[in-house]
Amino acid sequence: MGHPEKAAKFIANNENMKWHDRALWFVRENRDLAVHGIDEWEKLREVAKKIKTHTIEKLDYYLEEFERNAKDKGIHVHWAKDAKEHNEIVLKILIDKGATKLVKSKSMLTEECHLNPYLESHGIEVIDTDLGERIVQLRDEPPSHIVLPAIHLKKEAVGKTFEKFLDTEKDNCDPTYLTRVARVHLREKFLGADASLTGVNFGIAQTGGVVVCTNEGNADLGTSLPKLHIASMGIEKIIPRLKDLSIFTRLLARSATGQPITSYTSHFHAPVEGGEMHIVIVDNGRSDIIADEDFKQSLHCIRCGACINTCPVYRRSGGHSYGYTIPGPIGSTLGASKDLRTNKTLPFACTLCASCTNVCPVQINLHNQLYKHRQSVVAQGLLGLKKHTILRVATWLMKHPSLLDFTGKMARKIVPKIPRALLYSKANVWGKRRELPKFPKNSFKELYRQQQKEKS
Amino acid sequence: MVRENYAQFLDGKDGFEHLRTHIYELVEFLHDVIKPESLNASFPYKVGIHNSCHGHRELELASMSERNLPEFSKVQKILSLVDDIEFVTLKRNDECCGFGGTFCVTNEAVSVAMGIDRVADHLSAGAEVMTGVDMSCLMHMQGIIDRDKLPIKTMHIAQILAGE
Ligand code: SF4
Repeated sequence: MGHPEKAAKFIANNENMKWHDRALWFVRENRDLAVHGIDEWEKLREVAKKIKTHTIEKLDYYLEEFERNAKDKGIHVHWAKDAKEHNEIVLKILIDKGATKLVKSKSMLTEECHLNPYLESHGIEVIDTDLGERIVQLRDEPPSHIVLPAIHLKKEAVGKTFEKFLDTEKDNCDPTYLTRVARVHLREKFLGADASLTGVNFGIAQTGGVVVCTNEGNADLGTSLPKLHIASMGIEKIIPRLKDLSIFTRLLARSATGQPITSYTSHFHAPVEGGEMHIVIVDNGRSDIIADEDFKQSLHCIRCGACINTCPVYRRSGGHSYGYTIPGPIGSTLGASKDLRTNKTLPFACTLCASCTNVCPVQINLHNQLYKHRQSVVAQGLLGLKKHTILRVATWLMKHPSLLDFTGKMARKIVPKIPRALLYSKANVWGKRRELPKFPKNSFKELYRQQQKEKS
Repeated sequence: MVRENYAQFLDGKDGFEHLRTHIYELVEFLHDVIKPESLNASFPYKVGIHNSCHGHRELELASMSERNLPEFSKVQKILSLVDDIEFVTLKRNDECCGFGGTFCVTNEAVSVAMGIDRVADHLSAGAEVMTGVDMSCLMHMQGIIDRDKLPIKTMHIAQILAGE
């Protein structure tokens, strides 16, 4: 099933879809307020783009600088070329230390690598400690959003989930009550953990340290209690200097939720006392994207989720309809870059409205990328026979103007005479929920010619 | 479309440069080239402007809600020359209507959901007429209006400017 079919299912629950749309629009509105609060917003976006462009151009240089400085601080650095290597490295670190209980803060990279099931199959208990992530983990679902992983669930659904797994009171879905229960539950897990894993928002080449942004403080708790901290980082997370960080922290939280800054912006620049810190640097297809002029900008992404919140298609189709780790515009382009065949419907899950490109804090040309991916879908023959044939016929017709005029003329004559039952048959997808336009007697061209004649 | 996207197919071809620099969207042409100070037209209705995405974000006919730049609208400025016209304020000023070319049939459910929402926004703002620069958006939303027999209608901006 591609995106359109899964989206249609999501929309079939009309009330839920509308609620989802409104919830995310609310986030977008908060973002707008925050953005209009600082005059230099557009300037910040420009500078951020420049820093990212420069860094990606010289990524090898900065990655090596990062590794050197991290090692100097006593941090172990590992390189993983793909998801498999990443998972194996993480498992080995855990086994070497005899760790069996891992607490994780949010990391889309480990979602991308499917780390949880891998570790679980090797006897490691993995607990996602971000509240939203814990909810979807209990339900055995993937996150439906990169910043708001459980945004597809209303509080009633969360209540039911907690009832089942955390023994909460029946039918109690009061958010404060549920959060308290989750807090107690997670505290136990934090205290019992012997290792923690975090994602990385920024890796600073100049200092060799990493920065993790959260709102719940779960990364801090996780990394402070156990003696082993593993940070998984995509190669594109590097920024050159410490002073570049402020540009991105100002952009990130405002774009994500409308906050001036995330509640916790945690710097990890050494292992905790008597402990160990490891950074696993992961490629997993990113180098291939860097090599592609059309799509390399997608690696500038700071995972704020603004393009997802603003996307009118995402808001009405839900994150799971994309079938890729990251949904929305950025996910559609990354997914298509990674595996066009599997994700061939994603570049079309878009009206090319360009809201994403303009909302993006690092100015990624998202909609242009999706447009480009569409061309690859066609070029690689992945479009599907029906759509391909229709477009071929349309192209042919448009290349023959007099034939096109004639077809139009016939349509204007014939269509109004077709009985409704036939006209609105199943084949008429437009007409399922919309009336066809009223056909005028004459085309614009005909009217124009007629007027010109009358004038002369 | 022609100006922004045809280059990849036609760059360097005879006449393309001329085409690219001599093609205008109607409002753009009126606003930037003709610069009329009055129009002999009256339209005593409450009007909602649907900012069609390609005119809005590609041709920059008006400021976008995503950006933090000075506000302007060439569309509204030109429409303001029409006597007796009244504009309504929408909740979502520049959300896409969901037409999107082939999207309207290949992603039918999303397309329709978006169209319904767009029309509803105009209706609850008290608009009697929805107008815009893009025929296809209006056709899509008129299809929904007709099916649901809603008390609103779409008109292309040219119809209003011409005093129809
Ligand atoms: S592509 Fe841009 S808007 Fe979307 S998540 Fe990444 S940084 Fe944010």
